[in-house]
Amino acid sequence: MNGLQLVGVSKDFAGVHAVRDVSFCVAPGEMVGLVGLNGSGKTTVVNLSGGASVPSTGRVLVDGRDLTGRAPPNFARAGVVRTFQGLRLFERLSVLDNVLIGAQRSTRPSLAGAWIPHAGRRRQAAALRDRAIAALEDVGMASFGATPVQALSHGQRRRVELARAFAAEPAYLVLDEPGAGVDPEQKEVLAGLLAAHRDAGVGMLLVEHDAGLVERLTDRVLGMANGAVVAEGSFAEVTTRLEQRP
Amino acid sequence: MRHQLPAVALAAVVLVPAWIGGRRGYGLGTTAVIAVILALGYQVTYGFSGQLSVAHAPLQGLGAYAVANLTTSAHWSFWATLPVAVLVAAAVGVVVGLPGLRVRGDVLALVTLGAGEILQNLYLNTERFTRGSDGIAGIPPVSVLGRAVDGRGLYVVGLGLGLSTLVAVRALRDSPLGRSWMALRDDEVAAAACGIRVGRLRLLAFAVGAGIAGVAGALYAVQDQFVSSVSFGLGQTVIVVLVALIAGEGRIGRTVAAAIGITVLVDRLTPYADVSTGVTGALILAVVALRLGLFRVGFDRLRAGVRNVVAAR
Repeated sequence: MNGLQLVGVSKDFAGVHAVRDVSFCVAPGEMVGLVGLNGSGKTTVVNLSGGASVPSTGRVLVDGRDLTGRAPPNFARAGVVRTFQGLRLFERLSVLDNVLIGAQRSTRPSLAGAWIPHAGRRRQAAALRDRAIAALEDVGMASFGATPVQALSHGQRRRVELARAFAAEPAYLVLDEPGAGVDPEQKEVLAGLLAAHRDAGVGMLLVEHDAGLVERLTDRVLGMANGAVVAEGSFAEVTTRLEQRP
Repeated sequence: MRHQLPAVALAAVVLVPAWIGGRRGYGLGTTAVIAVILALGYQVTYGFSGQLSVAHAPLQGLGAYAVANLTTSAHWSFWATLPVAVLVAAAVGVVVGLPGLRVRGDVLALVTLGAGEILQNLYLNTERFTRGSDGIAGIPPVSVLGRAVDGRGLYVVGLGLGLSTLVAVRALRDSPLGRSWMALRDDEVAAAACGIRVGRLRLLAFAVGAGIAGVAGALYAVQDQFVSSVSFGLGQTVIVVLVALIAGEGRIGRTVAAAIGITVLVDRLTPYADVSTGVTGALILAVVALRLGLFRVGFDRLRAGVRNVVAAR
């Protein structure tokens, strides 16, 4: 079955149930929202979906392949790319190099690749570069290629992280608060970009506090409380259900 | 400037021995080239992949002992022993780097310090391979086209090896592999999420850094024609770390320049053995203070203080 799928996944941290029996599937070309109060387990679900966290019970499948217990690079190579709530960039690299790391997702860098000149490899390097530059153009950062990311503003850094994710050409994108700290104008750009990639067939799991963004972009929404998915449906339905809970 | 500096530094290496002249000049030139190769290797382990190893000089020793052993006991030529020196050092480098899969930063420094001490101890106590504290003497000079080379010839050989190392390390820096190393140096979690196999690349950085140290060791063996454990102690490692600190992480041109500068400084300080360690220590303190911006803070405070005094009047 195609999709990024969690099957009966639970995660305990030292006896505390951070996530309990969560099951869902993000299909290609589908955007699924994940909402809930702080501490309801959203980021743990993000970590479980990208391999950064290993389920205590349950399974994680990517296009039918069981990746339970595998490390994040395995998830990345299977097509699952994520962004971070706290923005994790490679601070001492340039903007372009940051995005090139995303573009390199499915390559295997080697000593031979560095030392033995080879026409095929040069073509591949040029293709990766083009892809990275295109991703930077998408987020309006193409003129910052040589700038060290240290020198950027928060909003610009968000865009670089997004470009890194797009350049990786993911099958599934797990987005942890991509709108945090982004001004309204840029949020419009962000919404347009996410919609375009969704329509191009990328499956997305979107954790976001901005209700407007979630409502506009998602096909369906999962509502979390106390580590469990307690509601599923349209954004309006889910928020009503979450508010009605005691 | 970034692209010119290595060329300028190299020109200096070529010209200075010719200027000083004679055996002493070329000897110092070869010593400088060895320091450059060693420091470039360290930039791979520390500068690119961000692993603070303090076992670099003992790893260099492996290359030196490999050459010393095979040329004196088995009568191999230097050129045949060179790949062995690289492979032995790289293989042991991987073993020294294994703790790097679990620990980071200052803890890794301590663990590699221990590994380096173990290597030093092996050099002293495995008589059969190292002849213990006596060391291995009588290493034959390098032959080129069947003729043994003199000090000037060895310097040219060293320059060739140094240039090759420089080209190789620059190619690494500008390759997808180098980019991946620097990415995991800056943020391992994000690097792993981008598909980078962090553990494997950390080990590879140790192997490459150690392999290059092996080249430096091989050259050292044929320059001195004598190898003993005292040449590969903590003091040597400290100098390599100092060069990397002065140059900055992953800065290749500056590494070449700093390695040459430190070599000349150490050479000038040789007659004053009682103060040379102190000078090294003072240099480390100065570099760290500079890196942390302490001089700037001090200068700004001083200026503010003077201004206040002037204003009060």
